Amino acid sequence: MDLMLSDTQEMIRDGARRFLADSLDADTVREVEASADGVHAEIWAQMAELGWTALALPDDIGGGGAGLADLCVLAEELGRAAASTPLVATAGFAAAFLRAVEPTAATRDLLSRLAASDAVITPALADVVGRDERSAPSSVLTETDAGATIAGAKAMVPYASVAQVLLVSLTTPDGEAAVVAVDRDAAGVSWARHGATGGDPLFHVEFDNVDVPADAVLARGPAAQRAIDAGLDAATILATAEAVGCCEAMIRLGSEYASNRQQFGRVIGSYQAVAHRLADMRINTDACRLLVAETAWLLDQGREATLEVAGTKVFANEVMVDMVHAAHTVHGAIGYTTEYDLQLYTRRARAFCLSHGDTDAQTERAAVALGL
Amino acid sequence: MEFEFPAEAERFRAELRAFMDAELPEWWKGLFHDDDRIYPFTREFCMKLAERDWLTMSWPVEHGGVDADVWSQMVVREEMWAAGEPRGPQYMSLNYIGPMLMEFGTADQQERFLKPMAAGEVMWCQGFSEPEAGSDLAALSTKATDADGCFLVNGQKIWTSYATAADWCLLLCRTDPGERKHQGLSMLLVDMNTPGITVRPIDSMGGPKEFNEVFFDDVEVPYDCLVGPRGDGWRVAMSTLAHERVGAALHARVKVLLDALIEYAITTKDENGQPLAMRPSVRSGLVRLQARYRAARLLCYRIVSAMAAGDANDVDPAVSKVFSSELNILIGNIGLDMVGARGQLTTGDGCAPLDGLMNDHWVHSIPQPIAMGTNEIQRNIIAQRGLGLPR
Ligand SMILES: Cc1cc2nc3c(=O)[nH]c(=O)nc-3n(C[C@H](O)[C@H](O)[C@H](O)COP(=O)(O)OP(=O)(O)OC[C@H]3O[C@@H](n4cnc5c(N)ncnc54)[C@H](O)[C@@H]3O)c2cc1C
Repeated sequence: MDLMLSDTQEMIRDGARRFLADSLDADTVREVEASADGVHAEIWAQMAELGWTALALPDDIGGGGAGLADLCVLAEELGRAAASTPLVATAGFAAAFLRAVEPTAATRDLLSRLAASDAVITPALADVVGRDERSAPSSVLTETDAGATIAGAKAMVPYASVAQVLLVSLTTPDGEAAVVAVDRDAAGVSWARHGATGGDPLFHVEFDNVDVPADAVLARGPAAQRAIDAGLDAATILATAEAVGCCEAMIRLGSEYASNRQQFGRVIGSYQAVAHRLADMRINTDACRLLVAETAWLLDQGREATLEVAGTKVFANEVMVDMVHAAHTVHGAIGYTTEYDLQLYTRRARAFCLSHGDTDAQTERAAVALGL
Repeated sequence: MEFEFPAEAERFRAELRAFMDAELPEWWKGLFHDDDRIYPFTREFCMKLAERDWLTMSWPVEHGGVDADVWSQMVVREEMWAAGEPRGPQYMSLNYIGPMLMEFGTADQQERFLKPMAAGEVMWCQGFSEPEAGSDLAALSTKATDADGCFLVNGQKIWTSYATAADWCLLLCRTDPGERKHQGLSMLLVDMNTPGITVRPIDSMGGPKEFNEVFFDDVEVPYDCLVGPRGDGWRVAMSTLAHERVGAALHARVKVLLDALIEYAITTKDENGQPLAMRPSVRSGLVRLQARYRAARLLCYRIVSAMAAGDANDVDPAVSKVFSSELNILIGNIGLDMVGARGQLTTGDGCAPLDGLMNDHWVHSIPQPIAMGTNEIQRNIIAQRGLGLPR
């Protein structure tokens, strides 16, 4: 057992923290939120240049040879800075998904693009009517002489407007699952941004009879489902690490505020009603971070970790919902203003609890994994 | 004991609902939405309520009311809050600014200010909180000094809801030095059109319509706009705040949301083709909310009952405020979890379940434990005055 950060992880943490402190402030976060694409494009580009986006890809394809556990350290720093980057979508979902499917020239090509550049490959899974990413897709794949055609629509596709490739889940006419890599610029693909409370820009994407070559169909049937699960598990853990970063920022803001704000001639942090809310945030954030680290480690070992992924998410959802309100409580009215930074984090934390498998969905997965 | 509204009050409720169905426009989503039509609409709406004697029902006849019983008044509060408060800021005049004037105002002041309130013509705002005086209200420093035959007000208020629309401001400020900070305060009625007043909206998570900063720079306020004894403003303010807490029917919105969630659970199928309503978590969530809704309603009614019996205390409103505001938080969170991932989409997005109702409520529930005196302060009141614990 060694629960300390490794040297590499410390390097990532310190490097990322310095880099983000230099290149991102809260005003930039606000500007990006209001922009059309909603992404910190320069940060993403610089992260790619530093090799961070490919950190967890294998050496032999040009990646950093590190693991998801290391990537989680980076994700937490992004969360602390309220950065909106496709890390979870691309380095989380896409990388894990592409490594879980049967290797082909097409998947190798996509992986090497991830390793070599700031390419954005993003999952398009959630249906317009279905509940989440795992719900059976209503979009359909039809085989043609030249390859295949896809038709339908997806909701809540992250970073679609800056993506090059979408990994789209579909249903074949025989009712089989399939995942297809779709060039985002292909004829018939259109997208519109959702209004949403969280930090990731989400898009409604339509596929109006989009033709794809045969080798774009990356997986089918149970294999497709397994690869989606692998992608979602990695994304879920990485997103939880990001949310832990949001919680750290909430704790930092709350502690600073409670140490300075005076009412009745005393700093409010000296009232236990205030102090204990912050202490609870510390306790639950630490618990979340350790669960994330262990789960990421298990995934890095290639072990079965459905119970741990789902259980971590259920726990994080539960405590983060409370933390959001605790953080607002500590701040009084000022925390509700947009001029103050707290809302940047509390909106993200609450949206996180609804994303990557909500409590019901993950509870069910965890319960089955427990043998119930 | 009697746990039903008088039949007359229920008949009135039906009448009021029919009126609101006819009067509320399609675009109406609630007082705090970002829409310039809102304030003008609420004024017209209040004038129509006034025409029917429904605006200041519980006020005495001499002040423009109809001496209605407290339960009819409760019907109004509930129906209005349930509908997103179409009276706009004027609920404050009715609930506590008017009663404050009846208690502390001179005959002239009552004549001058209560009539327009009862006619639904005038909007007020409450200028109490300051940057350094939130929970510790008595620490406020906005000053009214004596000038040529009037007060001269200088200072700053913050979190002032409705200040952009208000015609008048109920201003708590310091007129005289006092040995203790509760002394030397006075309550002034300030015309918002007086030169020297600047209002700056503060953008909030709930949009730009939630609150403002108000700056006073040599603002002249006539002496006849002082309410209650000079230097005794603390007593006036405490009486006002007590009425404020009684006036909120925070449970009424919970009922609207609960009904919407029940309907959603019954009519929405999950991935297995089963209605959401069959999920144990959904069943448990809705049942927990239903029981809490009943409790919140009763805790609110207990205050009104006690007042009607002349037996009011200041602990029960604190109990009710904590319970109801936390229930509003709870239903926002249970509701969001129930509608799932797309719950994070906002009103107007075609994919948002219930057109973003739960998301919208969640955002607007965040400040409820803070507004009207934080829940920590309410808990202090319950512990100290209710339980007799040491301070
Ligand atoms: C939506 C909204 C609308 C509002 N509208 C108005 C309005 O129209 N007019 C107006 O005058 N004001 C208004 N307010 C202001 C409101 O009254 C104050 O926000 C409230 O009194 C708390 O003050 P504060 O925000 O400065 O928080 P603070 O008093 O600074 O409190 C910060 C934290 O410290 C805690 N704390 C403080 N003292 C103690 C203590 N003794 N023991 C334990 N904990 C303590 C608080 O509970 C809170 O958790 C509004 C506020 C909101 C959120």
